[in-house]
Amino acid sequence: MNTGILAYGVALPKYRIEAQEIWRVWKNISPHFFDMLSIGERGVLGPEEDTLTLANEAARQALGRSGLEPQKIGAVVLGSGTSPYATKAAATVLIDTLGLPASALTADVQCADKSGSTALWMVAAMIEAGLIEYGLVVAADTINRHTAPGMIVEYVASAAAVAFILGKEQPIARLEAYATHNHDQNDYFRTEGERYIQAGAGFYGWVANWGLLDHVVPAGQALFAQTGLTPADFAKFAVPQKTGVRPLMTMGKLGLDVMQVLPYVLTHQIGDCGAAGVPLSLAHILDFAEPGERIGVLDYGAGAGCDAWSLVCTEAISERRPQSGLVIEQLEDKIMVDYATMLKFEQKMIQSPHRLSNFY
Amino acid sequence: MPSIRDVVMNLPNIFKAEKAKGWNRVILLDLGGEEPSKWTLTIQDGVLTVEEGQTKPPKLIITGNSEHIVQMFTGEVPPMKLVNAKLIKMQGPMMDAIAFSGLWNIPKKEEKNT
Repeated sequence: MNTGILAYGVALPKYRIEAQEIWRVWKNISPHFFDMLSIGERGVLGPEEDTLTLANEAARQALGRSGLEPQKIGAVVLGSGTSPYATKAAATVLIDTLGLPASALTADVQCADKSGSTALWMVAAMIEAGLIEYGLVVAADTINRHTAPGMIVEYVASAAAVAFILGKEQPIARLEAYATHNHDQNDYFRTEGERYIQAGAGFYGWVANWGLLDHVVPAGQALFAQTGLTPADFAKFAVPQKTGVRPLMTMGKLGLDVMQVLPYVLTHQIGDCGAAGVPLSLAHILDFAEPGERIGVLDYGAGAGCDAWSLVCTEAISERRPQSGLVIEQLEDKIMVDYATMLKFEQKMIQSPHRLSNFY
Repeated sequence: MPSIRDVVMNLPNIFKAEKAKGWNRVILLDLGGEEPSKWTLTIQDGVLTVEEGQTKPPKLIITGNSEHIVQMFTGEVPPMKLVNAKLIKMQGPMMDAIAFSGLWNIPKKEEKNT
């Protein structure tokens, strides 16, 4: 393939809450699980923050880093399971906020946590087919806004957005191969009209990860079979990271090495960022990647499927590596809040989650 | 057997810097046994620095007897054997504890004998 990532951008909520602070209120899990599951802090939305504002911020950073004229973007696809809109595409808002052309194909893609990954490959296919020259893909989610107070997942429910500018001209990483495995399974879901996500199989223990293994293992094996590559051919992997257990299970079942995976798991610092989780790990990898490194991506969408893909860094990454706004810098740039502030900011003490403002 | 000071001060020489890019952590060795001491290991931007005492708030705390840490880093006893026997304990995120074990070029026992 000639298509690749020209630039990427990341947006994280600045507010964070410690798992211990949530535990102080609920005491609904043994705190011993925190170290075992690598639970530490998670993102809290600001009063005016949602999936779209995070997506906009990440996309703005990606466009700025690419140096590309916004008018050259031929497709804008937002991958999210927590769009603020039930019917219309939220991505159309990005057309307006970023000054992108109305002629760009615009859509939302919803496929749980792998929404962004799936969106990326749909846009890559359009570029590869010659339909468009450049595309903008944003993976964004606000799992925290859609997690009920007192639910165990509250300890990790977080938010983030990661944007990618795709094209063929001097990418920093060239997309290489893609495999996917999809079938319906009763993992995390949210039905029409519901605000809060439900856990179909619980939070911890083997059963809680059955969907993960049933999708990630065949997808990963399909990628290796299709390309003839083995795990040893990869420098690093971005893997599912709702909790620290998922990377370990993925690693163990696919035969990946500890140091190919664990340094790029950010669960303890930011929690579960939904559709932005694996892309965030990929962005963290790209922040420090070297030319020639092959990176594997295993993006699991709860109960939906898994996309497995590979990309290879080019010489251009040495020159165009981001100099500021790195993922670790954004992780360290934070304001800690208490439980009550989190409830207020995430609009969990009022009826409608769709109010335009907190101020009227 | 080398002293704990010799072993800890040698850690930058067996540190896999390329594996630690973007993995910034502060790790405390809080040791008892024959040579009770505390050591702060700071990994920042792929560089490991070692300081005696507790100089920063750690994210991962490793406790045990100094002689077991010496055995671990000199390859006398595999790290997992020491952890499983609870001779070395790690307090902090499990993923960090596992990743920590992968950061070192620890000589294998067979290599030492050749």
